[in-house]
Amino acid sequence: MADPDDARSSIPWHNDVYAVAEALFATHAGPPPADRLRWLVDDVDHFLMTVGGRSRLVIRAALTTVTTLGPLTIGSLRPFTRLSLTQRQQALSRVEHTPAGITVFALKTLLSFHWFEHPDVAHEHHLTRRPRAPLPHGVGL
Amino acid sequence: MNAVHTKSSIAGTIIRGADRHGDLTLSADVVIIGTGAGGAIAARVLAERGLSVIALEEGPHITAKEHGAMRPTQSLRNVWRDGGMTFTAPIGDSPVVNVTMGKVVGGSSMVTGGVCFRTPPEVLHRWRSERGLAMFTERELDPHYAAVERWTNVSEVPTHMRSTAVTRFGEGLERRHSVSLQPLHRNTRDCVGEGRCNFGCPHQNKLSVDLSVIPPALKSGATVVADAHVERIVMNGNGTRATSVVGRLGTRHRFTVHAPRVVVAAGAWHDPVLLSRSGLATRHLGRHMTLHPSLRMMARFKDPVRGWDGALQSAYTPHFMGEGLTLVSLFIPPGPIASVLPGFGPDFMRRAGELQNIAIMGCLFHDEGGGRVWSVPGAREPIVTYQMDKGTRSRLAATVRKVADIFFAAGAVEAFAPILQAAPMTPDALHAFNLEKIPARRYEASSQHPLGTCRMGNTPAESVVDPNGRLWGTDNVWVADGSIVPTSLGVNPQVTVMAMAHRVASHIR
Repeated sequence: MADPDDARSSIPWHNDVYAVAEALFATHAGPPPADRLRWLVDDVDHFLMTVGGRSRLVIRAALTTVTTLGPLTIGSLRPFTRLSLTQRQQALSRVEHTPAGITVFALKTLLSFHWFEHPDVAHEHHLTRRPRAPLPHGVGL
Repeated sequence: MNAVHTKSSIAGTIIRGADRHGDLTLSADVVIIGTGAGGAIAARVLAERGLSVIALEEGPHITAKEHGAMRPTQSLRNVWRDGGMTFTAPIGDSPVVNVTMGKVVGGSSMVTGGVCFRTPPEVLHRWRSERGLAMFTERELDPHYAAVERWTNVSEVPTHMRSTAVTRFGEGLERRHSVSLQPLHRNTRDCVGEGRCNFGCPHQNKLSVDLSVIPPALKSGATVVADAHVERIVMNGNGTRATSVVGRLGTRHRFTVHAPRVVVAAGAWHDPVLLSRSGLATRHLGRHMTLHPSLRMMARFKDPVRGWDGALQSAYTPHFMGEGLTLVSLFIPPGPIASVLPGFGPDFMRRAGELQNIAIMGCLFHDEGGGRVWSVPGAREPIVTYQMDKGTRSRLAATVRKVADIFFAAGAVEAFAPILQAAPMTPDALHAFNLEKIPARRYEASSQHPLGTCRMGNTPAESVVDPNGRLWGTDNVWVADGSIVPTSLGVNPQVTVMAMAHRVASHIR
């Protein structure tokens, strides 16, 4: 993880979210900015605290499955959060092709949903909007 | 001691139950459980007739302006039930279906794309011929459709509001099948094409019932109580007459509403739970649920098609309806689109750089009731099982091929099948891929249309409510939402639900 001491949360599953997101959204230039990842972890945390116990349970179960199975699929006994970026990417890919693959899909969906809402990410990926019809008088975006 | 309000002191207001200090006891001529497309319509009809109406909503009151200012994931956490993570439990070879619903004043009408179809004539014919519901003719329903379409400003989406993604798909459809896309009708006004109707319109131009139906109901004296979870309907000694409804207000307080008429409109997912908990379970309650399970087919073009630049849903084709398939244009936020892209890290992010090149088409199946709602003692939420019928299952692979082929004819370079672990497909890969061997359980399916769990019929032996929506065996309990729709429709059900609720409310005396 980038800036591990700075980024690590006292809540263990926050570190798991951070580690999965860092692996998922890394580019050839390296891991994404730590401040964006922290924003993501906070936003996902707020989301899960708001949406109710059943949804929280589903996501926590998916996270536990991925971070437990992941290292084993690449022959490592180290915790998922201690794997290198490349190892985590390999582990996610391996788990995706097991019968537990739906857990990877669930996490990828949740994290991507939040990630691409970050204003800087949306701007970098040309995801900004431009209305097709004239806006009513006095209305701005 | 409970606070007792007179009808007049709260008439025309929305009470936020979570903000209240103390229990609440109310009385009215009618209590309506649910404020979505069914409950809101019933509230307006009955309030405008001069009855005092109290409409109870489990979710919060969030204004359209507040909703329109939210990011999509903020909408999910505040407006959608379970943050949009409500799923069916599959039976046999069936997909897990993600069923999305609203939990807010305005209900699921707040989270739809606004698509409006009248019930197809062939479906009404089926209701008459197979279900014996002779009264369901286009002529009989016309005044009900007309009223709700007028209230919600149902109008045709102009061609210029189509995104490039939709226009391209239309070109492919013409090349492959020699037919044109047809314009959809939606309940919008002055749409500017922000492409995010189901996550709140920034300009409040989608006329969901919170904007179009509830305000006139309030003006006619109705009262809405938000954050009010109804636990049960209280019946008299022999169980034939409802006397009140009771439940929890926010997290701390309780409420009671006394009323001589009870209208249940909590949706097909929750009506059976409430009726069962109230001692009103009958043989067919919770059974026969249809979903319109849908697949989202995506394809990547070489150049940007920006599916979010335009009306969220603008066009459809009825060309395949004979095969039980309706193709409806739609768009979803970039994040969930990205989740179907393969890879992790650099490979994934390289592909995500082309999100604006990806188009989507919704494939909605006309299914046959394989769903069932199971109430769990002591739990608010039910377990819902879904067994996809053989006919729908057999159409999955052919649909993926058909829609991918249309995208390729339109110039797409890659198609993404909604199948877990499936790689993106080029035209050659699609040809070589043995789709027919893929089990249904590997498909990623979604639904916004649960229907039929309190189906309407002529006798209690084969239905839950009578042809006017009254619960069999009771004198004063009606059901007025999608749960009474007797079969799948094959098209988006919003107008059918509203028209059915309008009709039920019109029969309440």
